Amino acid sequence: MSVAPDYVEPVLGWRAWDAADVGLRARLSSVVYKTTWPVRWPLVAECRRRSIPIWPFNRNAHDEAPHAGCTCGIHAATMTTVRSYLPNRLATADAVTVIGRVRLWGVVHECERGWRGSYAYPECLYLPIVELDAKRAQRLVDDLRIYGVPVRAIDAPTPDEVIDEIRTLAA
Amino acid sequence: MEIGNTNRIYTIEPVKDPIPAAPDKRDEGPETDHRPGHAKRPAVGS
Repeated sequence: MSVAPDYVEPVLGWRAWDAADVGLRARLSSVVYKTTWPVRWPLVAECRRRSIPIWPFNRNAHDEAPHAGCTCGIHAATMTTVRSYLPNRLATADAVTVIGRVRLWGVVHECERGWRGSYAYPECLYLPIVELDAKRAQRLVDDLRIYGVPVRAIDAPTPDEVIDEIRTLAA
Repeated sequence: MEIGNTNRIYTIEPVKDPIPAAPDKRDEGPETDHRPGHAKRPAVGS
């Protein structure tokens, strides 16, 4: 007997990634755990709490992620929450911040300022380019297009203005 | 990201594939040529 899902459309939330080089190409990388997001295949959540040796709480493994007693799962949030985590400099020599909307599905925990899901894939990507030279910006846009979703360069000068522009474009 | 406590839990089973289809198999690189069946990839986001 199968159990009917509660919904048939993915949740849409916002998040940030690093565009990090994997070999010769840039790919989306989670900011905290440095997970490279697969191309044309969903990212599947797995709890990594037990892999942090200094974690002071329950290290018992659980097979399901997200789990009610944990913070695991693939995170997405409101744009306001994402903004509060953005660095003042959106590009360094090693990584460039990418902001985007993400689809979450599977088991989804709806939280106070966002969601934690078991499966995820980007829905659209915005690349702040003001601190990048034209060649690097173009290479990153080209590389990220492999995900098969819209990729837009944002040339606003500050993180606040980047967010404003994304909000306008996404409305 | 700190997104607060869980208020509600639900299941979502999309009727439409959330992953964009590859435009043309010939354009795919080796990264997508071996798309595994339903195998789980080890990964987590935060």
